Amino acid sequence: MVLEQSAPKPDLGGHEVEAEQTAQLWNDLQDLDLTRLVQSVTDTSTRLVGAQFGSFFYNVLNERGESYMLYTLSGAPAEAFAGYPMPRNTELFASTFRGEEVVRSGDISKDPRYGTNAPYHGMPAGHLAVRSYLAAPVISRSGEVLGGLFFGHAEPERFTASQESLVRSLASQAAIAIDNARLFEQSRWIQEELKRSNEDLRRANRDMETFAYSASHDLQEPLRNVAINAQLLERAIGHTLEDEPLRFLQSILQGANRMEALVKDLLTYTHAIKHAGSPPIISARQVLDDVLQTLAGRIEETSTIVTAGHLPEVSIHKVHLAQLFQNLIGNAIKYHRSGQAPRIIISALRRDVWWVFNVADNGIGIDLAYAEQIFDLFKRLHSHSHSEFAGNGVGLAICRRIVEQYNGRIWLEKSTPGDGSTFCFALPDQKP
Amino acid sequence: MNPENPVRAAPLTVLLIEDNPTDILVITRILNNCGLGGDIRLAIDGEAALDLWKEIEAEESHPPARDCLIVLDLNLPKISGHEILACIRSSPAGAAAPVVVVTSSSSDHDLAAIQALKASAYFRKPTDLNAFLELGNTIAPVLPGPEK
Repeated sequence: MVLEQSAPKPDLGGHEVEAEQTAQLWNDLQDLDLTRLVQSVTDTSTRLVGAQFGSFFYNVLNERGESYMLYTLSGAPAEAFAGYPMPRNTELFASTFRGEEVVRSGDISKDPRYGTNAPYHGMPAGHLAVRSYLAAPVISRSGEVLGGLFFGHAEPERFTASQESLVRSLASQAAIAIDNARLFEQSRWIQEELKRSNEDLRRANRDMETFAYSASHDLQEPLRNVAINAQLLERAIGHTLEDEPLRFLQSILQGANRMEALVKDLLTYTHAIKHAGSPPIISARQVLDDVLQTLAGRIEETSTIVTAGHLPEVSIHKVHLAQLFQNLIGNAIKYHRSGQAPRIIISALRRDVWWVFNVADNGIGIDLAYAEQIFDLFKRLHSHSHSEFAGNGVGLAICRRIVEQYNGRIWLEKSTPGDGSTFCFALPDQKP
Repeated sequence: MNPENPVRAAPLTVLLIEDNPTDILVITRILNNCGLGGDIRLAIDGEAALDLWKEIEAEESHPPARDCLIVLDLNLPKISGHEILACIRSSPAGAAAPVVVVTSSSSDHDLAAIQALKASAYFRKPTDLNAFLELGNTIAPVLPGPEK
């Protein structure tokens, strides 16, 4: 052994030293930090091979995905190489960087590939003297040449066939380790990226809420002005107006009223998820009973029959589950077929880690082409002049906003125009 | 109710702090309907409101400034209604003066702030004119003196 740090301890035989170093190398290969990994591979393999100098030239990718070359040295101070350009695609190095066979030479200065390139024609002046030469490509599982391991010794004929095969296996172990380290860095990068996108999403959500909130507040003022002034005008001159101008005035009032309703719904929508603290575990049945109590008037008016199966306990804020039931049952009552009393069946099923709630009705049904868009804000399938189905298209949007807050989902399970709909919403089952 | 002051000698001073012309018009009508139209001082921004309040406080008038009715909008230019309310409440004459907050805000945050600052009453500005005229019913109970 040439290098001081690898000098065998007196009480250990050569084989034990090698075993210890192999163990060390194995340990080093577990390192997921690429720079540290590459340095320790270079150091340990230089010692194992018995080289005076070892180096590892390897390609890395920067954040823009561009490849550039780094190197580590062992057995020689970095200054010994400083001032020299990166190993060029000279004949000698090229085969290694192309991923070809291991090159082992007893005296590289006699190799025909040596010294063919300008400007140095061999070793640049002042370069470490190298006669014995051993080089192996480090090839990724993907076939990409990650870099090359190069060993040198000032004396000729220092590297044997067994050292050549050792280097070959070291190179393949190093490739796996580098692959792993790269994957690890990649996954860390992806995680960071994911975290960033999540933050972006949260920020966008907050911005949207702020916007909707201030928009609905700021809209209220001019809106009230229109409405109040129209009413003042109606009081002042309404009795003198002909039918047509009176209708104009009433249209202004209707428009203002409708806009007021929209603004109110927009506020409800933005408030739908504002509920601090972790949700308690509550009885869905209890919440449903309360909601049916609230809707008792409409249920009686329309002779609606509501049937409920067994409902579980779920982890959700009470107001949110109540709003889900109220909007879905309210819709089922509103969109009933004329001349037929609404029938609503509410049930829940356990599916994997979910509680899936079903709200089925016998109403007018929905064309499945609209199954997605009905959950969008202000989306309606009936015109506003259709007073029978009055509304602003906010109810289902609020439902979706609520369930999504609990990482749940809401969808139209099935529907036949003229023959009822079934809405489902899934909430995660919190119990183990 | 108050044996020492059974009859009001001068009209009650009303400090109306409001920047919306339509609301100024309607509230003035309501005040007139309530018989409070005799001495209405109008401030259309927060600064003017505080100046007017200082003026009223300094007047050696009868009835005293502590009986002045303040009708206060929250969303004002320059100084917010919250700050004005805090200012009035921290002055000797304003500590117990009747303050009716009139606002289009329905936010819990605003409501809590109004309560904390001890407004005498709160009225949410409606879009319906008839509902707006109900403001008179909110004002009447907080008025001082024999008309109570």
